[in-house]
Amino acid sequence: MVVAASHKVAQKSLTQMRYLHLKLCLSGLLFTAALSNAETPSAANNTTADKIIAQAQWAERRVVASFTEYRKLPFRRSAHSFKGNIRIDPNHGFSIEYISPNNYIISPSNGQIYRRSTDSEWQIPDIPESYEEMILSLIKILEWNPSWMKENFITEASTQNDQWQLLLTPLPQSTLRQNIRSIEISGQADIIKDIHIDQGSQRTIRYVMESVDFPQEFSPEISRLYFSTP
Amino acid sequence: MKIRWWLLISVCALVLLAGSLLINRAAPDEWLDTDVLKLLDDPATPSADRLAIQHLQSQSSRYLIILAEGNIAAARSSIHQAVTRLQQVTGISYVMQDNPDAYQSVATTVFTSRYTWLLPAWMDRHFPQWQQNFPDSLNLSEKILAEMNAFLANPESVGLDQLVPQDPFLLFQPEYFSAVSTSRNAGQTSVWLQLGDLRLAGTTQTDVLRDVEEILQSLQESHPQLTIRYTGAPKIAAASESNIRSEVTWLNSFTALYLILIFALLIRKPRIIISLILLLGISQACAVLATIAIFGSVHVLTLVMGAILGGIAVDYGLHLLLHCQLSIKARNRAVITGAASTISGFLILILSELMVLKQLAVYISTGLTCALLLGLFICKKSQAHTPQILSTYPVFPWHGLPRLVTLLLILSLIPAALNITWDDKLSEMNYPSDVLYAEADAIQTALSEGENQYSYLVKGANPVEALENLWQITTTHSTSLPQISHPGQWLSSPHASQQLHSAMQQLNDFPQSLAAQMENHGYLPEAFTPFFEKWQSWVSDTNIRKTQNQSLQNIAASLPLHLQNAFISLPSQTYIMLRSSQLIQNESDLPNLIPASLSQWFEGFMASYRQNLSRLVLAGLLFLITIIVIVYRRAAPAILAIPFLAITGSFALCTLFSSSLNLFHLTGGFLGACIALDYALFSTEAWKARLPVPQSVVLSILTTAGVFAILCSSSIPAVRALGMSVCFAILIAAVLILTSWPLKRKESPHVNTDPE
Repeated sequence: MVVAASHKVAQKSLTQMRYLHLKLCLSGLLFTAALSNAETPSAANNTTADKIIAQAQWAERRVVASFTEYRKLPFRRSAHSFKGNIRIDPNHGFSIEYISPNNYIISPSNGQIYRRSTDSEWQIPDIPESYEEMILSLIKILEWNPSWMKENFITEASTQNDQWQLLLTPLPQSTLRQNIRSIEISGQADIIKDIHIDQGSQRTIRYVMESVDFPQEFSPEISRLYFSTP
Repeated sequence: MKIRWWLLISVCALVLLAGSLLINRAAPDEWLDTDVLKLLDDPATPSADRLAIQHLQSQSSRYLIILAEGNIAAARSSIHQAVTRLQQVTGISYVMQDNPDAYQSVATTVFTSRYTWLLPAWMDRHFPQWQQNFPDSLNLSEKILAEMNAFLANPESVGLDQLVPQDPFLLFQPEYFSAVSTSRNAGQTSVWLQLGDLRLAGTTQTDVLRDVEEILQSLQESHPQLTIRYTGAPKIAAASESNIRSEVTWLNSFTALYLILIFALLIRKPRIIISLILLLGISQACAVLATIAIFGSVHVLTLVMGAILGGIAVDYGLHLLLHCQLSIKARNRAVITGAASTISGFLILILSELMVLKQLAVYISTGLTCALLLGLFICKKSQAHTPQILSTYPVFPWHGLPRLVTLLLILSLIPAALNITWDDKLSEMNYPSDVLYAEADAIQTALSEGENQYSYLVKGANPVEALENLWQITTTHSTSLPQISHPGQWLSSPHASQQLHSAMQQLNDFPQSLAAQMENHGYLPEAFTPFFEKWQSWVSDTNIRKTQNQSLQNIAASLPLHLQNAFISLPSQTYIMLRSSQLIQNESDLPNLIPASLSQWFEGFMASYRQNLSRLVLAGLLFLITIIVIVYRRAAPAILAIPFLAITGSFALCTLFSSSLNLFHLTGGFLGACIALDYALFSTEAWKARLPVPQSVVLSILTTAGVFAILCSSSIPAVRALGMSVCFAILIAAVLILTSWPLKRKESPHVNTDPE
């Protein structure tokens, strides 16, 4: 029991770190999902957020997107930046790969979060259930579930020509509110350009999309390497 | 024998069997103890160590742990539902699903005292020689900034970056806990349950376990892919109790049936048989009542060993109720001398430290007194009868066995007698539940605790001293101690912490130096105000030891309920738990280390219990010798030679069957000596009267040896040991007596059937 206690205590900080890391990754996924679902210009041009959300459909295509993440902290003069790739496959689900400064991959599967480095097997990270529930709920955003989004967020949308902006604010009763103040997604036509997460306490995470590709197929090797769902 | 007597005896046997079953089922639970620890001593003023271990034992004996393995994520909601249902079970006072959320409180508490408990390890890591050569403020600041930059360059830092302004040392990093961190299989979850006061809750252990099993079965049915197991002391105890109850029933029933069969075949006098049954039944009932009256309950093991009483009490009945050719005076002298010596011998056991022997002393001596008095009473009221079958044998057929053969047999046992080794294990008194223990081991292994985990407590006058002792033990004896784990592994040594505190107090310019370095590396020092305030508070602490004590108490209090045994605080002592993958052999060299398991703790005393018992047995035997010498004078050496040879021969034979002997062989040997003495007295009386060995002795050998042979089939090693040693002692005594050895034969015995 003592071993277990010490172990759990030791895992605590790691857990927090992983949780927020996953949150970050899922934020990236949200971005990608939005990207992949960035509807036709006609949908984005709708004047209400409800209409934008309601008309969004899950992409029946594969996506590879590279991004740069900027992290602003209240005790730093300048932001830290990270680079990575996001992959979406209708059969295999989501995957996010960090390539700089460190390399590792995150991929959810069957309601469970998996993590690996390029030279290790998939592992289930040790995440507190309360945080895991929140992360899993974020996946629902990626699934673009309109009714669920309405239950958890106040949504606002604005469009100008083919530019559009979607603002998601967690509802007061939503558990997401503990860690997210708002999520602002902006795009043009069917491309998402920017996602900005305000975590409160002067902490923000911003993802800037750099390139997007829609491959016809992922090779078995890519699928095995990046997706936890075989 | 007429058919109606067979019918009567059969009815008696059935009534006895039914009575035994009825008593077994109907006896209130509080009258019958099955916990092996209740067989041990219960001092009025227990030591602090004993209190700590008792506390530990009482806590752990109430826990059940459920382990589910498989796709936990898919079954999450069902597991939550099961946990909720478990919380609603009457009798369960605590339910906790093991996950990192459960440890948030203790993590927060440790973090609050991070400079006391975590900073020394940080210094060890970055400045290994800090105790001899303390770094200056600039060195320290540069190291802090280098580490902070590297940390924030990692995307995973997002999980902890909020804490950086409070602690630029980054003491919360998992690397600082790497000493205790082992990989945990996330494809499993465990649930801890604690049973509350079942009497207050108006339920029983069996009902609680049944409810738990129903809930787990329901979970298993809804998620067949999960492997669900559970274990814990209550589960093992319930199974053991059930097994022991059924064993007591069949042992007692077989004993009763065997005796009735012997009486029916050899005595054939229903009146005598019924008298003997009455004598046995009443003496057993008196023994049970006396034990309950004195100790509050009777342990099941005492009850099993209580078969001893049946074995001896029936002797008195046989000697007094059967016609034995001896004069009434000689017969009574032998019976009363034998009974007085045996009762006195057993009464001496009341001075033993072991509760089981105390109970046995009261049980046997009360029962024997009752049997003797009852036998004398019945004997006066009735005329003695000679058994029809035995009376046809004027001389026992083995009487002519050459004494040389007997002597050779005895001599052949000498090598074994010289090779006797003693091994004292408390587990000998447990009902063996191999399957349940194997399951418990498997669950423990699956929970990454490994097999054969031994728990110890390290003590100190206060929390700080206990932790310091823990550090001393683990560092000083690091090479000799097997692999160990303890909570101190993520808390620094209090001494090192005090040293660091003193050194940091001298580093007056450290905050300014750190702020300057922060500016140089692009940080905003004003954002680190929480850190600078906390730091100032820590370095200005004038009584760091008091703070350490308070902090350790807070950490202990913040542990989840099922882990609170890691720290035990008593008014005079504090104990911290330590676990080892192997048994610590040189435990006596570590004065502040005690076994945390009560059974393990008592096991350390088993050898001393045996030595204590040996002294008591010796005292008892000396008492017997004195009585025999006074009563029988010149014949005394020959009389005493029989029990002496019986006891040594029995130990020698037991050594051939068991690799080593234990406390219960010793108890059995003592009992065997008492019975052998009884036989020797009668043989001597017969020898003096130039008569053959009394037939009551022959009958007694058949009944007593048979009863103890039945005990040899018990599943409990202690009972088996007792049965074996008594059985061998009786058989050896029988051979000696029936060959008239070592008594010198004056002339051939003759049959004298006329009582004086």
